Amino acid sequence: MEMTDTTISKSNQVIALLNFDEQLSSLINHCDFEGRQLIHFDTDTDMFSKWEDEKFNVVAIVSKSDILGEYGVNLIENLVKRKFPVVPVVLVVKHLDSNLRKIALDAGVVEVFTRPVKIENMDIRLNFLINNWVDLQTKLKQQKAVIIIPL
Amino acid sequence: MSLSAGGNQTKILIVEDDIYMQLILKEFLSNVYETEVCINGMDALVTIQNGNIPDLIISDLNTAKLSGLELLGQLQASDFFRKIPVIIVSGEDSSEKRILCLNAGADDYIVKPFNPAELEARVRVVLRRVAR
Repeated sequence: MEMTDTTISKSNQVIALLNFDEQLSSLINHCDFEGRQLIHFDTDTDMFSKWEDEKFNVVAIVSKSDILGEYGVNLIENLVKRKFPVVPVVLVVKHLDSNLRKIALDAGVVEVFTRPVKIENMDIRLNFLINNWVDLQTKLKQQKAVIIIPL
Repeated sequence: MSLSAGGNQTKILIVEDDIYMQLILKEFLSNVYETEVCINGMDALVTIQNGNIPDLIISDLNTAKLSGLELLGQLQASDFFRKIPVIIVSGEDSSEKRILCLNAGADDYIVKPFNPAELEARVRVVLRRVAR
């Protein structure tokens, strides 16, 4: 899978918002994503269709779904199957505990926000993840590639 | 690189770019705790993101890539990682820096050079507070 080119202008970068309700949509409009576009999708199928048609430059996905819900860790599997660009996937959930955190991290979810979401936290984390994604992704792969051989 | 290899032992992630300080911290902590060292905040975030979640982070304030303060900012903004306690160690003995770090979410602030026994004591205090 390819990684999205984050060197292109921010106004041409897209944050895909999946399964958002009215309340969450209103909230995220108050976030400052440094001029990036926000595009809403009701389903992952809608998102995949539009991306296959238009190849828009997606830089992150924010999905309203519990970790074991329809667009939680399942979404990651579908992204791989569809050869979608490797971008930060963030979930907005109702419930989070240490077991769910482990499941989410193991699946590749990079951040979770529990409702009610604090706008400033979403600003800080999402902008950081997008702006440092290439570096983070490279280091994540390097650490995962380390093999420990017991003496 | 895994912090979890030692089973149920308390895990401490040390974020320090000075090799001498790394050795001191490891020397005094590894008798009791499982330790892992990262040279900057970015590497620490990657380690945590990989699922190696420590029970405590001890971070230098001024690492080159993502400082201790910036690392605190990211951890505090994260619902995944906010509960990980952080002790900042720094050569700067100023009230302003202490206040800045404590307000940013640090659980303690220790000035270098420090008595390692005091560091161990403070680590125990933070871990005890978190366990409640």
